[in-house]
Amino acid sequence: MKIAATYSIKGGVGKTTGAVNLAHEAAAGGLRVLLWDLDPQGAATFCFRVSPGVRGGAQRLVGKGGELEPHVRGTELVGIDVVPADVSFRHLDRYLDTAKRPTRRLARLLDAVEDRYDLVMLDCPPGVTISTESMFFAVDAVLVPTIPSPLASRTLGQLIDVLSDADGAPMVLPYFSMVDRRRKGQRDLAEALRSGPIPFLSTEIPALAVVERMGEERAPIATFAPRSPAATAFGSLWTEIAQRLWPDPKS
Amino acid sequence: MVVLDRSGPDARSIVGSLVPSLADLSGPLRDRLTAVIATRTLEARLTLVGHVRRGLLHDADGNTVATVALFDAGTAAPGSLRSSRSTRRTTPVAVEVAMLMPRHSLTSHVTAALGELALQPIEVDVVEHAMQLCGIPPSGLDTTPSIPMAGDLGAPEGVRRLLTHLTGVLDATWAGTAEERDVEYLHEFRIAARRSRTVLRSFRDLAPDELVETGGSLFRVLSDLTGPPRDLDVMVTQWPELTAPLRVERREALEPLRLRLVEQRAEAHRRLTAGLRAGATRRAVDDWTSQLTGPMVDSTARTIADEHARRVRRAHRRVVRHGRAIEGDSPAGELHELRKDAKKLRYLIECFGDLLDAKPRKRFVAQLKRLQDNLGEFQDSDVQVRMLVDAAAELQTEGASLDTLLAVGHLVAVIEERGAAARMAFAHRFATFDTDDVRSAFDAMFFDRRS
Repeated sequence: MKIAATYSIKGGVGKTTGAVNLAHEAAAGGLRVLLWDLDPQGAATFCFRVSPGVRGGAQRLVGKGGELEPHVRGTELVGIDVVPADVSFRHLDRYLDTAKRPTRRLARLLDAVEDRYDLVMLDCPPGVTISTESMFFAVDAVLVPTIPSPLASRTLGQLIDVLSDADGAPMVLPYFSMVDRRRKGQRDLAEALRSGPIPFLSTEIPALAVVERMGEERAPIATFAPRSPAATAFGSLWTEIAQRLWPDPKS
Repeated sequence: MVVLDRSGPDARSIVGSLVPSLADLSGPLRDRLTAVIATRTLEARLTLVGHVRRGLLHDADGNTVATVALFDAGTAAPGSLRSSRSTRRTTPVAVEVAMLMPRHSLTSHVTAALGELALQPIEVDVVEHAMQLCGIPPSGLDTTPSIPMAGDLGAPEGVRRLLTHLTGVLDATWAGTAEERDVEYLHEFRIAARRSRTVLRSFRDLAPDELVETGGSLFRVLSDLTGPPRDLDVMVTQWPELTAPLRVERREALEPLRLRLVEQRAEAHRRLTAGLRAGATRRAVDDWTSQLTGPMVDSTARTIADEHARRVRRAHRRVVRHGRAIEGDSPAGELHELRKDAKKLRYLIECFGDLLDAKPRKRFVAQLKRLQDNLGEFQDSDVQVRMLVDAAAELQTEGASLDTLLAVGHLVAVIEERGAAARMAFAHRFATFDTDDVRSAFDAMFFDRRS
């Protein structure tokens, strides 16, 4: 089982969009996928038409004897289960802080579902906190949606700095998100970043109205607009990510 | 409440004929399947053709409570889409419901609505149900050597049942062997033929002469047909491991030899296929199958447990006697004979496994297997050296390079060394088998049943 997280220090960059669509692409390719919505806003939970709420809340989940499995819900999409968001996740740091070895807590919870899933996708809230550190410890890859803007690229640099201090840090796989190729500023910045030291994935996720429709349709883009450029882009992006998570032994 | 608000257009659904090759897969799916498939090939078990409409049950908040799939009547057939019409079955109209929120209040409405439709519930999903209709066992190809058998069953009937089961294994692996679908088909086919031959020989006094003669002739033919392709299968598939101890230049120089073995393997498989498709072979199988349903020798007073125990003990005594007679300078032929004896003993134990106490049986078979592994290593090296020398002789007459011939010499030396090591280890291996501990495990296989 591999664990990936969509994460950015900055908010509003397309983390949930990435988590939902990449989870769907993985499941469409035959993988058994669990999406854990760690963001108390619960947008990913909403998109999969799962009712939010975890019995006992975050305290019980990350506390002594807490287990992930009882909170797993099926979805209408084949191959995708969800651990829904809960409003108490906004206090996750507080509960993790009181737990034994807090940075390993998420990893321990996920260990128990190792045989059930091929991929766990964590949809994380922004910021740098204890739960972020716990996420870094648990995951194989951090997927970082990055808008080609000075602020977003600055926060990516901060993330790289944070991870460079950590032992056994996960792969960091940044990709351009919400890209508007008509805007010269974005084009130039994307080009400058690509020629910089941070290796970006080659696929870019375009800023299109169809992405906004996810909230109305409450479904991954490929289910309601399978031929749209955004759905195609997420397909390509997943292929790139999968190749890094499961490199072909022959290559 | 909105029911079926997202039912899409009718979708033609074909399940089971989409058999991917491992090469087409990637990531964890490839890893999972590789571990399961190993050297086997993926085959279509079922072709299911029909229409399915999918719907969703949402609650007032738009969350999904249940998924519903409506399957129209369709057709199911074993194997791929090329299956003959005669094997096709009509699948019934079916409703498949998955409750995603079992505790939701709407769930009870769904249950009640389904109840009013007076549908007949089935415990399996639509695909499994179609498999049942077509008589396809969910566990796949059954090549286990033994069948459930009561110890007080009449001995002739017990032998007949076992031979019938093994004939079923031969039948199930026949096409896969003839079509060379993967190397395991041939292996399982060959083992089933050899097990049948051993059982028939050991219990020949309980079978009519005609059956013994027909079976003896058939299994000899099958054994002769399958021997060369199996040996070459092993040689070609194990080539990387076999040549691994050699330097890279030597391995490269061996390429003409490897290609020659690949050609020989292809030719051996062509002969096997022709042999299996020959009218004479099919007639011999039909005769065997038909005679197997006829009367056996009338000796119902003898139970299969007693008769089996007597024969297993005799086979064990034979292994021990022959093994003890082998000295450090005994000819290779004696070890080969012992290998055959050990194999017969193993077959007799495994084919009638149900008549023996499982725990001591496993202990004893584990030790017997270690002895067989040692004897097998010695025998394999002998066979491989002969194959290599013969192939090298052919290459020499065709003007093979000196490098190739020298590399063959090195490979032969490596294999001979492996054989010599197995020969050296034999005395210790047999001594480990011929102990009071192993004997008591052997005896306990029978004694526990009697007590």
